[in-house]
Amino acid sequence: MTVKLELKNVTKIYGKHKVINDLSLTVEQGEFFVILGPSGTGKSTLLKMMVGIEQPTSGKIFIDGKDVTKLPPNKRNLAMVFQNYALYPNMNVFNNIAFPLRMHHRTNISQRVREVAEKLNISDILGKRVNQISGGQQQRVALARAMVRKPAMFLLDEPLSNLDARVRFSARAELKRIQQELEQTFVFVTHDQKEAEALGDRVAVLNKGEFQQIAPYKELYENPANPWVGDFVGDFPMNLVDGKGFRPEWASVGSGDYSMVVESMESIGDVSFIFGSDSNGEHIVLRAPEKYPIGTTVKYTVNRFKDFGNQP
Amino acid sequence: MVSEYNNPGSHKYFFIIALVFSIIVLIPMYVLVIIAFAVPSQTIAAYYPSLIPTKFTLSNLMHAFSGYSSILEAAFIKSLITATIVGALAAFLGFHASYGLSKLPVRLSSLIISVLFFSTMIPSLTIAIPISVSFLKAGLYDSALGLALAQELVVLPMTIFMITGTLQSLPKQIELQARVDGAGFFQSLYSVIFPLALPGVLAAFLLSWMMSWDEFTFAIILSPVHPTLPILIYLDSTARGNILYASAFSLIVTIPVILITMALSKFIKGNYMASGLTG
Repeated sequence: MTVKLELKNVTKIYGKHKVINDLSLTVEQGEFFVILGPSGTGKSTLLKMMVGIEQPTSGKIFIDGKDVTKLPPNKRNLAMVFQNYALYPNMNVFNNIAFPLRMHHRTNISQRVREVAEKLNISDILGKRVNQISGGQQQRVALARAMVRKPAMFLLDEPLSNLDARVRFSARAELKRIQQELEQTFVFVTHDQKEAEALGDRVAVLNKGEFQQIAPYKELYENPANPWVGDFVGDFPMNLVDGKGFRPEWASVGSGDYSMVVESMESIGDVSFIFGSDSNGEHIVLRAPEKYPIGTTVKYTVNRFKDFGNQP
Repeated sequence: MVSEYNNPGSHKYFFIIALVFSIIVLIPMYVLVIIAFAVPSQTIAAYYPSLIPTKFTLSNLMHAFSGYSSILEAAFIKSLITATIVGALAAFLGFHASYGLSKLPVRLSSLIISVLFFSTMIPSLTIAIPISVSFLKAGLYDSALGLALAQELVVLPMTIFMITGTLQSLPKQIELQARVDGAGFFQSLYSVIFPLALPGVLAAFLLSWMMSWDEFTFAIILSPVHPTLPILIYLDSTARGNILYASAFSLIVTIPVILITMALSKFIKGNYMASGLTG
């Protein structure tokens, strides 16, 4: 594997506020790399430094082994898809997609645009204005514009978050398919862990300007590096008992040494989750085969623990 | 964009307000038209002029033009050149200055714009005299270019204010996207930002053009020998006492303004650029 993107001790300070704190990272060629974190945690700032819109306060950024830290965005050979797609409203779909080719003085523009449009199923809207097409189509146009030039890598800033739930689901699958077809490096920023799970070969969990853990999603879920990751990753926060964590499905309800009082309940399909507190006041979520009335005490056994040691 | 004007109820009020404004504007225009086209015995020569004249003639205009066409033509051309220079310069300088200002924090850019407006607080008459002295030295006195430069002082702050507003309303990502897509600084400025700011720039051009077209103070002091149209009308209606000529020329002053407004209004009111963008 070759290294596509490398960040070395990158720090970004705005005024007195340290947004990104001494981050280092390597992304491999062909990898779908997801940066996951709650909002306001520096994800977009990180992406902006990669693309060259922002300069790091200190540290270096390498693309294909070349130091690009001081290069402007138009010299980095990257493509970016913004959350709002940033389509050029004064141009039609064709000209939007053709724009990067024109800026790079490429030939056979029309042919290349049609090729990409074909691949993304937007050939029939090339003549339309960008305000005449749906959100899903706008997202495809933005992706087409990113792909058309065959850049060194792709940076995507929450490109699915403005879509309706249904469209988002198919757009996500399509994005993954395209990335695999292109065999290109994608760096994808999101706050949605379903997207991270579905898309990411590896997921970097970012909080307060620092990476908490970089691993495939499954490992983040099963083996979080610290209680914060355990809490953030997953449909439900990881349960914490005696400084040890466990997932709802790691416990069996009915009998055992542990107990909690049921406070509420939620059914997803034919699975029920019960929410409650134990005697220490810790919130616990369990997966239960049957329904329990609110107020009852439930006994359970934990079959497997994740031990955080003495970490906070 | 769903504005409240799309609501039928408020549409009615909008219509009434527009009607009242139209009447206020149209009555003087009407008087102008009847003086220009009715026989003088029913208008300016009458002791009690009629608001609804019955006899019309083209001879007023014929007289005005035939006896006077070369002076009128010269004044018209001078006004046209001056206004076009003022408008073009305002659009050009305004766009670039506004781009710079739009990059600053809003608080700072608003402060700078208010400082720019200080220059318009000084009465034109006070600065026209020192300017005319400098222009005499520089050979710009009585020239269209000199007059345009002086008038630019008045219109530029307003122009910058307008275009800065337009630029600040554009989503930042558009420009960043252009840079990522490979555009250099000037390419993104002229091939992406400028087209998006065009409604604001055209509005600024139009406004500056019209301000120059009927500007008086600078024109009479800086260009008295070969006057612009407003000065010519003033001289006809006061010094020469020729109200018929003045009315005819006033119509000529009005027509280009109406034409240029109609031509540009499509671009200015169009919010074609607003959609396709969120956040």
